[in-house]
Amino acid sequence: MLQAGVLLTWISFLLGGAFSGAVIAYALDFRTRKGLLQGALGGIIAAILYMIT
Amino acid sequence: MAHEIVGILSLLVFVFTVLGPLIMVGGRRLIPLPLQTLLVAGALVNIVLTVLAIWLDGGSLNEMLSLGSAVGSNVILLPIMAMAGGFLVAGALEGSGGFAALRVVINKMRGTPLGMAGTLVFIAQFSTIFAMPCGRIQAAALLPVIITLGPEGVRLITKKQMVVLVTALAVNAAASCGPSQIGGIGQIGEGFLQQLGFLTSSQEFGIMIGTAFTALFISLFVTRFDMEEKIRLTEGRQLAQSLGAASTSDATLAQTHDEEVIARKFKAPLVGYISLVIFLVALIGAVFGLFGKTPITTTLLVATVVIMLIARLSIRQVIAGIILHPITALVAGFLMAGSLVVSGGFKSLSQVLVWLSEFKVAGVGLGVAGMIALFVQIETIMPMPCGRILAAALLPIVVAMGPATGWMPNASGLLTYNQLAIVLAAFIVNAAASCGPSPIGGIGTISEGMVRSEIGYLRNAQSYGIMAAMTPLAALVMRFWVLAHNPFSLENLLIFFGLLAGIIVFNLGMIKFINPATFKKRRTPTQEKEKNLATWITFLLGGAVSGMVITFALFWPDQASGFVSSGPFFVYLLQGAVGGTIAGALLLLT
Repeated sequence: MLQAGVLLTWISFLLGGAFSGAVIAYALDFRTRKGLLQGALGGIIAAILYMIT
Repeated sequence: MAHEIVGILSLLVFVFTVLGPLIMVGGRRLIPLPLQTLLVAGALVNIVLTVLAIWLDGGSLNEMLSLGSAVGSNVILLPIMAMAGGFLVAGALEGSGGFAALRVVINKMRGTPLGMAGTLVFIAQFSTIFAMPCGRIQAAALLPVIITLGPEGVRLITKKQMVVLVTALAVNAAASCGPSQIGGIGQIGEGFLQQLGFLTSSQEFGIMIGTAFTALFISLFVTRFDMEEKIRLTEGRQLAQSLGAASTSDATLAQTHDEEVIARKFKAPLVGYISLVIFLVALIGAVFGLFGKTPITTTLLVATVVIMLIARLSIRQVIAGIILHPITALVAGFLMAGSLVVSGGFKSLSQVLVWLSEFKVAGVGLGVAGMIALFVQIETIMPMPCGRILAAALLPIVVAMGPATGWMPNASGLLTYNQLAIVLAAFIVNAAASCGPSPIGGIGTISEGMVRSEIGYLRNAQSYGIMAAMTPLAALVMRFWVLAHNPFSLENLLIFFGLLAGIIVFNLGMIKFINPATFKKRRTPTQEKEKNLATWITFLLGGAVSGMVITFALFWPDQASGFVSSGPFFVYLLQGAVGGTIAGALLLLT
């Protein structure tokens, strides 16, 4: 069950990271598809590092 | 009898010392003293009052003389030492060029597929990724990057982007001391629960999403009129491209020049990169237990010594990293808490909390659910320059609501162990983040200084992000990830992702609603009124939903995970909504 919890944590962090990254990019006026995708990518990297550190 | 009166009086002294500096009269603070000074003075007053009570109740001289040690014993050394260890390694990183290396790495990210958008997102979230014991360390390391890229630097980001970025950075940096494994506030709560790292992921998830909502809030909250009138940051020449450069080569030349300026600004010695790697190895090793049972503080100190030897740093350079403010805040908070223990102030507060949970108007009251929904937001309602001040004083009260202590017989047993863990996660992330919107020296005031806005202009966005996203999400994650018996059960997944989606959709709608003037091209006579009304509605509804989510996390029955049904669930939800609404109103009023 502990491993299931860890897996759920990872999935949620990655989804949450992508979402938060896209929202921040939108707030920063990067509103093209490329800008939003770059923001989501930045958010995913941030989420991975959140989990690792 | 005298003890009971002194208990109430000492509680009033505490409330006065905390609220006094927040009250403004004629544009000036009512009590223009540092909070730490006030708290220590308040603790002394409480001790004198307690001596008086002992004398009136016929107590002995020995009883009076033992008060000093009783108060002093409440100063817990472990979080102070962990924080000092974090500061020392930060000092070593600064002295060796580790933070300069970090700035170079972040700047280089712009050339990767992340581009400018992804890099700025990374900067906004960075403080909590490598969370230090105080968010000011990361903020200080990152601000030069933003200043250089900003409108008064090489103008790669606009004035509005800078306002959004520094607001998001401020709330993220402020909150980062909650989940920090090197002396963060969360470690105090984890100490009470006796599980290191137990509260980390819930806080981090809340911070990640809360940062995004704060950014979106401020992006829509600032109108173009405000941008011209209330944000006095100067905006120099635009990039050559946007000015309509005579030829493509002109634009390329201008861009090359800008990049050269940035490259000159961001340089780091080799030893800086090495010290950064040493720090990361120490941090990851300590978090994952790669060095056996070595305490984190010891690991950090060894890393500090290794960096000192490699970079040939003096002790003075390392000690320069220590920020006294959070340390004195923690000690002052502990002293105040100790004085409340001996004076009976905590007992009185527990009576107030129980009274609040039982108080009813026309048969309707807050209940425990409403009281908790309000209590977890209290630090952002009374934002101190450092969240530790109130956290150190109030955490014992939160813990006393749990099953084990018996310090406060009235409150004891209000919550089970699992419910206590949820409340602690929500309370601590709220406490940590509260130094962002604090108008009396919080991290947000640094951002406001950077964009030269009015003091408090960026506060609402941060307060909303903390209240409506960080706090309830920390509770939600704690309940449905960390404490769930079977996280992958269909019911658990549906509830978690359903509530998560609900919070996201609701907040997106509320933030869109926040400022009707955002999309207007001209200033209208009723614009400020409309904006104020929309802000009030947003905070009240946001508070209500936040309170309901926290209540849901606390009371949704699931026997396998240790949550038994304890009463009418929908009544609890309603009580949580009322408590959250009151919190939303108080957030705007204070």
